[in-house]
Amino acid sequence: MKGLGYIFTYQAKAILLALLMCALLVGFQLLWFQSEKLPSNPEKSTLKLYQTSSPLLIVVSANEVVINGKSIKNLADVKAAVITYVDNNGSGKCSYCDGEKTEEGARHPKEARVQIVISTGVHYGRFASIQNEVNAAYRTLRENYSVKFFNQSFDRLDGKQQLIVTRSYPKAVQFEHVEPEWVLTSD
Amino acid sequence: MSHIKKKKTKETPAVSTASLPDIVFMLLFFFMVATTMREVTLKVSQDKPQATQITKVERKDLTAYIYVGKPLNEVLYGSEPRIQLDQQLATVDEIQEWVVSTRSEINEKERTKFTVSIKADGMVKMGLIQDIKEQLQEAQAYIVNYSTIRATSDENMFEGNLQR
Repeated sequence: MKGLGYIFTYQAKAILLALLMCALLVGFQLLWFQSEKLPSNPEKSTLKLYQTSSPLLIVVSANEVVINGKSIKNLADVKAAVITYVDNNGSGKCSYCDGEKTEEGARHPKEARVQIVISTGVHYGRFASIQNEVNAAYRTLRENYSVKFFNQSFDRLDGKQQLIVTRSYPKAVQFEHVEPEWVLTSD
Repeated sequence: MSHIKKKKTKETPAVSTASLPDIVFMLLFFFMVATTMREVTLKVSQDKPQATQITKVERKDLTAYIYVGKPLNEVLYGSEPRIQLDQQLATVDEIQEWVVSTRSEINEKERTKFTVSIKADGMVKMGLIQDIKEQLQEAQAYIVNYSTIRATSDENMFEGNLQR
């Protein structure tokens, strides 16, 4: 009986608990790996990928900017294009957007992705103005949200409120650099 | 003889050097107070692009700068854009080493906030910027920002940046 009594001491309980946790962890991991090894329905997974928003593709070459296949002459139009894309609300589930719910735009601001393809031959100044416009677009969206829900400018909100705003419009911008001959033009 | 001796006593005494340390210390303190840290002498051109959506760098002590541009001394270094790290021109391969040595000077607790600011000339091609970014990523310096000039208006910005 003395031996059994030892089990109920504090340290022994802790050790037993730790062992149990380890066993659970290993068990779950095994299960997880197994499920990954066997893709039950490949068609289903591709469908899921297809359902996420298509990214906004901005191609920057030395003499023109192409957004989703449309050539843009004025750099100021980049900002408007990003705003209409992010605020599109394609899924209809975004309560704070007022977009046109088109097929091309993002389904939800949290799914929105902006992909910028830049030719390595482009001057840095051009890149800076493109990035400036994309940042301006996001800043405008966040500013609108802040004024709408907190009646204050974004800069005057406190940390928690700012976090809510930035999470409502998370910035997902990806840059990709390609050799000049790979950049497609609108033609 | 007595006549000559009298003349000797009349000679003017040597200048007292008792106040010399005072003067030396005064000079020393003056230079200690008046000296400021020397800013980096630029060896590359810096005609930075303009932008409107800019924020201030909050912690300058955690920020290191990479200058990119055409060398000012074209005879010595050629006209191709180069990189300046601290005081001297460098190649892209030296960035990793530089990042490691610069980061080690920062307090260990704040090392994760280490920021690299790229101060590039607007005429630099994106290929070079891309190379720098790749090197920074390999050196695990993930926080990178771009230094620009504040533009007075959108139109001025586009005009200024499009001339390049």
